[in-house]
Amino acid sequence: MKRLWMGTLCLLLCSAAFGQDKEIVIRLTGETVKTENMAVPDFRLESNDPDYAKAVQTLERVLRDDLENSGVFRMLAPERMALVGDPHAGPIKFDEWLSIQAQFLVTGRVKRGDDGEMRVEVRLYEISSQGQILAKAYRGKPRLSRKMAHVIADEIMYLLKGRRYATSKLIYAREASNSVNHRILKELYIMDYDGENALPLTKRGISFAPSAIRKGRDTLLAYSVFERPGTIDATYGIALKPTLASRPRALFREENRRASSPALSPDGSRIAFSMATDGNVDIYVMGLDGTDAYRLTRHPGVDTNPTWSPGGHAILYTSDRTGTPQIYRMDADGLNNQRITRENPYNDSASWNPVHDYIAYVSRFDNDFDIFIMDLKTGSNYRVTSRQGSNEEPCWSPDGEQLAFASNRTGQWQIYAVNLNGMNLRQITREGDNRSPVWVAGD
Amino acid sequence: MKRCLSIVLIATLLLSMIACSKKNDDIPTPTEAPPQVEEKAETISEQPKPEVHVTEEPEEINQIDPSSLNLQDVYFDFDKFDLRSDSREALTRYAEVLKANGDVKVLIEGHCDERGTEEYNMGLGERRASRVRDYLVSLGIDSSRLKTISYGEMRPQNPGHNEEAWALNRRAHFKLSR
Repeated sequence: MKRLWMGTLCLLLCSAAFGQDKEIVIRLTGETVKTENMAVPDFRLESNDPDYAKAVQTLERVLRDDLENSGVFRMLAPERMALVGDPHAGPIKFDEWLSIQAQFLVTGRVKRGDDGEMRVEVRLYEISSQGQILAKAYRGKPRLSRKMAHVIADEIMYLLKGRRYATSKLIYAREASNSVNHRILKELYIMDYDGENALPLTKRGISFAPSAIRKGRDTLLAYSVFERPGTIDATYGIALKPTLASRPRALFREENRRASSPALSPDGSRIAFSMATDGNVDIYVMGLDGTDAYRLTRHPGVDTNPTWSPGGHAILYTSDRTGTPQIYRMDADGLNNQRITRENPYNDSASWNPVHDYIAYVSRFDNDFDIFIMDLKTGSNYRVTSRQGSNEEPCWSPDGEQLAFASNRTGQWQIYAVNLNGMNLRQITREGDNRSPVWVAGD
Repeated sequence: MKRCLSIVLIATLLLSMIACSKKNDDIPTPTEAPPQVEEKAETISEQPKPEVHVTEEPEEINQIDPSSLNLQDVYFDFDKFDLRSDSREALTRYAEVLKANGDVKVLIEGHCDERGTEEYNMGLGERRASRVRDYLVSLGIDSSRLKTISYGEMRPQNPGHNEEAWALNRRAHFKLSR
């Protein structure tokens, strides 16, 4: 928290020193990032279709939120943009935009397309070079205006920063509404990264511990699921959906051996998981068809919660071989085990950043957890949350710049997201109890 | 019209030939984005709806109430899976009951309190259930009558968030059938 305050202080000092045009923001991990001002004035509506006005308002709002969520662009306030002439009337007056410290300008015209579709023409300008970076049209039904905004935001982010996240999705476990205290039921859902458009993936059971990756144009999903819970024949195992629209396949069902905690490898060819045999839980790896299970850890303790490195060469996992849970690293073939965390008696839930050399994990204090980031190059730790309820199950966005996690700080479990610079903390889910987020690229 | 088109075509061909014959050593100028938005637009289409996997509600067949044989839950210490002395005493009694009721099969459920990560608690519950089974086997119960499972922190006996509730939730529970 102290670091965050120092960051904010530095930010204030910097903005005082350089005016409002360029700021240096301190990342949680000590690196610096530059933020730039982006102007997204209201789009010009060139149709009086009654559906359009509302759709365009949504589109503008979502687009601005998406760009702000990058952590590197700040939206110019409407009052400041009002100082400049209408960007839709004649050529862009770059000097005027420069005078309100805009670095980038996004304009849009909305026209009537075919079949009741909107045609949104978007242009992106760099003010300093007076250049047009993007001129592209998008078409879609007015009710898909949120998705249209996400696609446009990703296009802009990719052109300017080489990364995408606005079309990404969060898959998570939600406590079912028919759960009772002694009989908790969990269902998996998928939603947009900003919490909208939640759709169920499972129903009426206990499905938990999701792992998902993007493979081509499909989302591959593995999760743990109970069978016949509450009965004497109860067991659990791993289910795999090759695409979200396909039926799940039960993987690895054996008498007296129970698999859980699946982690899909980054190339989508293997699943690391933990398996309980006679009270001993070890990490295994298997193919997507559930065959060729190969044992990676050989300790009498609990070895669980595997997670892959971005390249698929190493696996992080949790083991209580020294008496309490700690995070370890091994090569993907089970060799070269080394302990990663040392500072606290209880560390778990490691997640490897897909881009930077960081891992996120949780550490227990009294009865609650907080989220930390470790720089693997230096071994330094950075605290992300500070004793606001329990904060668990961190996962990284596909571009590695944001972190989602579950927290019960409001009394219920909800999913939150925060930028890598420690800014822009936001609550993603609001209804019910939601946990175990995994973040996966979308289209 | 046709004539006009062929002239244009020939002109284009000639121009491209000239262009090709020219040496490619000058620095390419960066291609500017087209000033006009192209007519062809990127289509934003709806996502296909995911298939929902519906789990069938299980029926409970031939189950008998563990309290009818007086098999109460046995409890564990915080973060521990070893059997306390009171648990060992209870299990010694249960072993006699199970010997007297030779047709009873047992599922031992390992449970944890909420103060742990969900995944690690699944493992801890496995260990607790397994410890109870091993002890019963050591007391002469045939291992084929005993199965184990972990529910981690998902089936608390007491939904509270205090020491009292947690102590009740760190337990092994017995499910019986004939």
